[in-house]
Amino acid sequence: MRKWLLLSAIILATACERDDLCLEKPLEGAVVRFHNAISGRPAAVDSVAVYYEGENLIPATLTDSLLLPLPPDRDTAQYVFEKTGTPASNPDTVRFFYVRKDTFISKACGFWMTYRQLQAQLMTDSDNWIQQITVTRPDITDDTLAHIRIYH
Amino acid sequence: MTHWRTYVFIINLFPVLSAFAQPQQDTTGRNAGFSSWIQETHLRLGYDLGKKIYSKLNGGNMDAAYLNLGYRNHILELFAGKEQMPFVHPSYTFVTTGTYYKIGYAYNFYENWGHMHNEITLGLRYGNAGFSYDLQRIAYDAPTPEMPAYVWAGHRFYSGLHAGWIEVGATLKAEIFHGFYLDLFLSGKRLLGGSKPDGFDLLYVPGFFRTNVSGFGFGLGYGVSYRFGY
Repeated sequence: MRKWLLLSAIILATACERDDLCLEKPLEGAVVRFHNAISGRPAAVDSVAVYYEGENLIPATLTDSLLLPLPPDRDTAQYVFEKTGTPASNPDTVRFFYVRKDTFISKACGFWMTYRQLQAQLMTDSDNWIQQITVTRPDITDDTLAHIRIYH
Repeated sequence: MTHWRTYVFIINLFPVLSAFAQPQQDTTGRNAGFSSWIQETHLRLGYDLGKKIYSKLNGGNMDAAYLNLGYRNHILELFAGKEQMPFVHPSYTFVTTGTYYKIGYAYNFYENWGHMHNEITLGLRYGNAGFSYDLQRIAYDAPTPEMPAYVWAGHRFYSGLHAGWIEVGATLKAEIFHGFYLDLFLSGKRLLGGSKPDGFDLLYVPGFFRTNVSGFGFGLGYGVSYRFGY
């Protein structure tokens, strides 16, 4: 009986590896901050919704900052920032260009996509609620400071 | 008539001289010299069947053979192998291609009866491998449900990789029939050093198998061998 317990203990110990679990989470996206076009100070938008490929990515929220996820399968991403409210909602299209590169994290986590050299382009239409869009930090390496500033 | 004594003398020299031609006899009564020395050595040629079957069941190929040179209960173990094995992880897949060798010393602790030559050995070995990785698939999760997941497929090579390790190995060799043996292997090993590929990690080493953070590994296997010897 004891020999069997010892054998099973050895088998179990060798089967479990500490590096089998991925405990880290990838970055959620680029940090977008909204600013007042005149004063330049952070200013919340009442309310903003983001659409990607026709689908609602971020529902309408009253906020001055957003986390914008970037797609891993293409080098250009087009988003529609819609300012909701009365009298009608105002959609503005923004196109982002970036360079994708994968980084190996660990045996358990594998590879994660990193986005660098970010560029933003505002598509002008008849009625832009976004005045200007600038990239403050082109390489997305953390999610603390703003990468993109939208002036409205 | 005077030459007769000379002839007898010469004729009597022959049996005396021929006594020197006989091999020396030691106290045990066995023949000493090279002929007895060779009777205590043996040569064993083996093939790792376990690795072959495992590799074929897992979409790869492993060829491994071993040569043992034995003198009495001391054994010089030599191993060599060639591998091409896929490493499949949910997030990525790569194929390792390479060769390895192992060299070691083992002692047979089993006391055989009669003319049997079964073995229970314990030994220490050093192994070294040269190999390359071919990264063929990377799967990226969709960041949100609205964005599709992305799978990259292609070939990304990490070449010129090397790794070394030491191994404590125990084997059990039992004769099945006339000179053919079934060998069972058990080993505990530790990776000593290895070139980490740029932008990747040393995840698989031919001969060592999968690596992990601790550097330790454990092996279990079997093979068939033929023993040449007395």
